[in-house]
Parts: sequence; structure tokens; C-alpha cells
Amino acid sequence: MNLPMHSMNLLSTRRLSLGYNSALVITDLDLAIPAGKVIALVGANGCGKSTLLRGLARLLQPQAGTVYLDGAEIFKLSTKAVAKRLGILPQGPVASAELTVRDLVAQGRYPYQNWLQQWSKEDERMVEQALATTGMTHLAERSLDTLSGGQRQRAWIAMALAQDTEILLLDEPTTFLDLAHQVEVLDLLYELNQREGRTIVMVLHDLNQACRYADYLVAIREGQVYAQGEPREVMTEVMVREVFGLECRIVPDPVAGTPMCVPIGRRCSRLQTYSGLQPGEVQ
Amino acid sequence: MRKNWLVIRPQPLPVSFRLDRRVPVVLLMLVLITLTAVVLNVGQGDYPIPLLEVLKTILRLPTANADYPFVVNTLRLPRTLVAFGVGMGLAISGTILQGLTRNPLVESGIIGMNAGASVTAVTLIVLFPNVPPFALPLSAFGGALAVALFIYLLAWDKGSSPIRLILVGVGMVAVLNAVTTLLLTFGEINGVSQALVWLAGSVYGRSWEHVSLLLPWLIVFVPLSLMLSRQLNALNLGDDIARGLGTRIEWQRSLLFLISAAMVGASVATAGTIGFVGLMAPHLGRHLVGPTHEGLMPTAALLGGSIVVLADWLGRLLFAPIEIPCGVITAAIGAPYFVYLLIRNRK
Repeated sequence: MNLPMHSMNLLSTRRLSLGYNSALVITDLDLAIPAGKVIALVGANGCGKSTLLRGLARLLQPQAGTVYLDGAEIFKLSTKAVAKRLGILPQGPVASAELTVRDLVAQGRYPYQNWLQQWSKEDERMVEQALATTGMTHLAERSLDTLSGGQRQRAWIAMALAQDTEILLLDEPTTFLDLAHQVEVLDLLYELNQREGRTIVMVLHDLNQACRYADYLVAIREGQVYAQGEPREVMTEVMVREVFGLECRIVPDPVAGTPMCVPIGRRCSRLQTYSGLQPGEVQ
Repeated sequence: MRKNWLVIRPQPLPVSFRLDRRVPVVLLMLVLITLTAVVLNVGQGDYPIPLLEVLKTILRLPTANADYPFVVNTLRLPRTLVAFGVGMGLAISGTILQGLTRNPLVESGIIGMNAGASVTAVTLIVLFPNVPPFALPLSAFGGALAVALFIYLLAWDKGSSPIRLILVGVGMVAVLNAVTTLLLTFGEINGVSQALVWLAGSVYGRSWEHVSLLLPWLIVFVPLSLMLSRQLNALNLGDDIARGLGTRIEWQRSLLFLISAAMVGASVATAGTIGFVGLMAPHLGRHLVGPTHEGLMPTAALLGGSIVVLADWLGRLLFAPIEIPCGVITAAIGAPYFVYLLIRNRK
């Protein structure tokens, strides 16, 4: 895949306000998504991170402000042209149970097809490649309802890959998966970024996974960017308190060395021996 | 590795297609079943005609009996063709509605579009008996479209539960049928008796005139539905994915609803309300060729056509010489099927 290197920020917003009906969820948000990186959007439930992702993917018409794709207003571009550059995988997508994996992945080629060209050689090549990348080739003829949750999620990611876009937006790609499958999906996304240079923007719930897999962290609070930057800059005890309302300790991840958040709940009997603090001293 | 696709890609041309490998075989078989059903239905009646003679008569070959051409070509063939066309229309409408709503329990009859088409058509028959015949499908189309729009505004919500759509539909059917009853009660007797015959959901007494009223609708909207199969595939994955893939969802969904309403309007205006065809045909079709609409749409259309032709045949065979309207037969088979799907879908 050839990436145009003229722009460091493929996707950006200016004074973006998003909402449903009259309630604003995102207000006056300025954000630039660095190209070629893995970006994680984090924040508490209802902070607007999923809404922001939908706004970036032009699924939601802004109430005010603009989303720019390569400097052009995204809503002024043809939606098919956008679909060739930017793929979106919403949370918990549902397809017909009888659909086979290959049928689903082939749907990713929609923006490249028309009434005459419904299945070009390029379409076929990209679908095979997407199946191979996600390790789904041997399951290609299986119908979706016969797959495990992790396999199904990989099938959806394969569909997004077949769309062959430089930017991939994913809303909580690991929800409903067990830990092993979460790591499997995140590893896959990381490899896609490393090998093919795709920009990956994802909403993640797990802060430690976000720190481990993302180059760039965007913490959202009440519809605004609270902090953004590399995980080791953004991931502080103050940030977690302000954004999530949670007291925690930040320690180095024993495996990756990235920041790791260890929450302090009410049940923290070892706290005293751990840090020399009385449990009562922590709010 | 086994591939389930048949790829058509003639080298020098900028054209390429892909179909499920099962589609051509299934379509061929359905064509044969349809032809058999047509011949059976034409042969059946007070005046039975041997099947070979039916074929000869339809093909305008010399026949054993001079009466056959009249019985076959004037009386029974148009009626059978109407049955086939109506079934095809209802099946296409059901396939579109199930694809758009992602709800396997939906069809035009269940969400009230058939009833809506009846109300406007009955209004026309009872209140304006002198309108030209082509106005009937138009008014039925209007009624079906109005109900589709109403359902869309009232029950369409992201993640709207399948049951909600059906409950709103049940309410619509009750209200619209009440309006129809009202019209029949207070209408002028000639118009009412004409409407009653037609409302039963039967192809009794349909002539070439009816065929020619139905045909233009099929010629326009059947190819259109086939052309929009790809869009329906995308919309079937949900609004967000469809939009992410570059579909103009509002425009394409409106167009598909329009096709669905047109098919219902034309069908109901020709043969009254024949229920459950739009439910059964896409279901059977998915079992035969899978859920991809390029293959499902023509499969369901042929299935729907042959279901109504066979229902008409059964209706005249079971209690001969008494004739049961084909709408009663499709309901007798379709209603239990619906209940079965309802129970299976609850899990």
C-alpha cells in the first residue's frame, strides 16, 4: 500500500460539535489524527469517544464545525470516495447469520464496484489478502453463526481491510471477547499498522491495552480533549482521576514497560505494604 | 479449497459479476417447477385437460379438442399468469423489506402495507366506480407507500426490536381493515360486491386485461429490484456499516421502499390481499442460495410466483368443485410458518 506522505494529519477536526437531536456530546473539539500511527481514544462511559469516532467517519453530521480528510471537508467529498480512504468498524456489528465469511469480506469492496464491475480481479485479490492477513482463509466458507466471537470479530476486521483504506476507525474492537482474543485482535491491528503503515484509530476501554498498543493517546472528558500525546505523557494518576474519577497508581507494565494503571478500589488491603500509604489517605 | 462463487469476467470487456454457485442450478430448477405448476394449474378445473394437451394448446399446436384453446388461453392461462406475477411481486417486496429491516419476520402483509393498499383501492372501487382500470394499481401503490412511510416514521429506530415493528404492523392492519369494513358497510351495493370479490385474495376470473395491468409494473420494478441487490446487501449490514462502505443510505433505502410499495400495490390491485408469500419466499430462498441478494432476489421471486400458482391449483383441487381463494391457502400454510419463525426468533 502506497501512502501519500505529504500530509502528517490525514484526519482532523476544527471546532467540531457533535450530538444527537439537541443534546451536544462533543463540543468545539479540535483534534489532529497523526498519520501512520495507532491512536487510542479513551475516556469514561458517555464521554463522547464513540460519538467522536462516528463523527470522524462521517456517520454523524456535525452540529457545528468540520471534519477534514486530507484538508478537504469530509461531507463535501463523495461518500464513495471517502469510503476508499477511510474504513469504519462500529461496535458490535450484526450480519445475517447465514452469511459466509467470504461473502462478508467481499462486502468491503462495495466502494470500488458499480453495475458493470461487480467483481474485478482487484476485488478478488484484496479479499483473499484480507482473509490471509486476518488468518481467516481456512474459515472463509463458514457461515458467521458457526464462528466464535473472536473469529467473527476477525471476519469483520477482514471486511474493513478489504476496503483497502489508509485509515481504519474501530469502535471498541475487543468488547465481548475474552482476554486471549482481545490480545489477538490488538496484535493483528498493531501488525497492520507496522507492516502496511495504516493509520488506526480505535476506541478502547482498557487503559493498559491502550497504553501498550497505541502510539498516541487521546483522553476525552465531557466532550473535550483532556489530554493527548504519547501514552507515557498522557497516562498519569491525575489524568485517570480527572477523566475516569478513579484513584490509581501508574506503574511500568512488567512486560512492555508502557505505563500501567492499577486502580485503587475500596478493597485494597495490601495498599499499606505496597506504597506505605494508609487506605484512608486516598480519596 | 472450495469456493462457493461463480465468477463471470469476460476478458476484453470491463464487466465482472459474481454469483453464489448454487444460484444457476436453483433458478433452473425453479423455472421447471414454475412451468410444471403453470401446466398443472391450467389443466385443473371442472373441465380437466390432460397436461400434454395443455402444453400443446399454450404453444398453439393443433389439439385434440376444439374447446381447449378457449378454456386454456382465454380462461385459465391469464389467471395463472396473474397468480405468478402477483406472487413474484409480493416475494420481491418481502425480500426487500426483510433485507432493509434486518427482520426475518417482516413482510408487506404483516406490517400493514397490503391492508393500506386495500383501503385506497376499495375507496376507489366504492366511491369512484367509474375510474379507468389503471387507476386501481396506482391508488393501491399510494396506500402501500403511505403505510410504509408511516411505519418508517413510527417504528423505525436504530436497533428497533423485530417484535416492535410487528406490533405496530398488527395495529396498522387492524385500523386499516376497520376502515375497509366501514367503506364496505356504507358503500353503494354494486361497488361493494365488486370490492368483496376482489378483496378475498383470489385470482378468480382474472383475464388478459388484468395481465396487461400488472405487466408494466413488473417490467419496471423487477429489474430495478435486481439492480439494487448490491445496495440491499450493504444496507443489510446496518446503517453505520452501509454508510461507511459509501452507500447513500437515505436515498437508496427510499428507492427500495418505493419498489416494495409498488410491487405490493400492483399485486394487491390485481388479486386482493394474498398474505405470507413475502414472508415464505425469501426464507425458502435463503435456504436455497444463501442471504446474498443478487442470488436471493430472483430465487425468491420465482419461489413466490410458483407458491401462488400452486396455492391457486390446490384451492381448486382440494374441495372441487368448490373453489378456495389462493389467499386462504397461502395463509393456511404461511400463518403456522410465521408462528414457527416467531418462536425460533425469540431465542
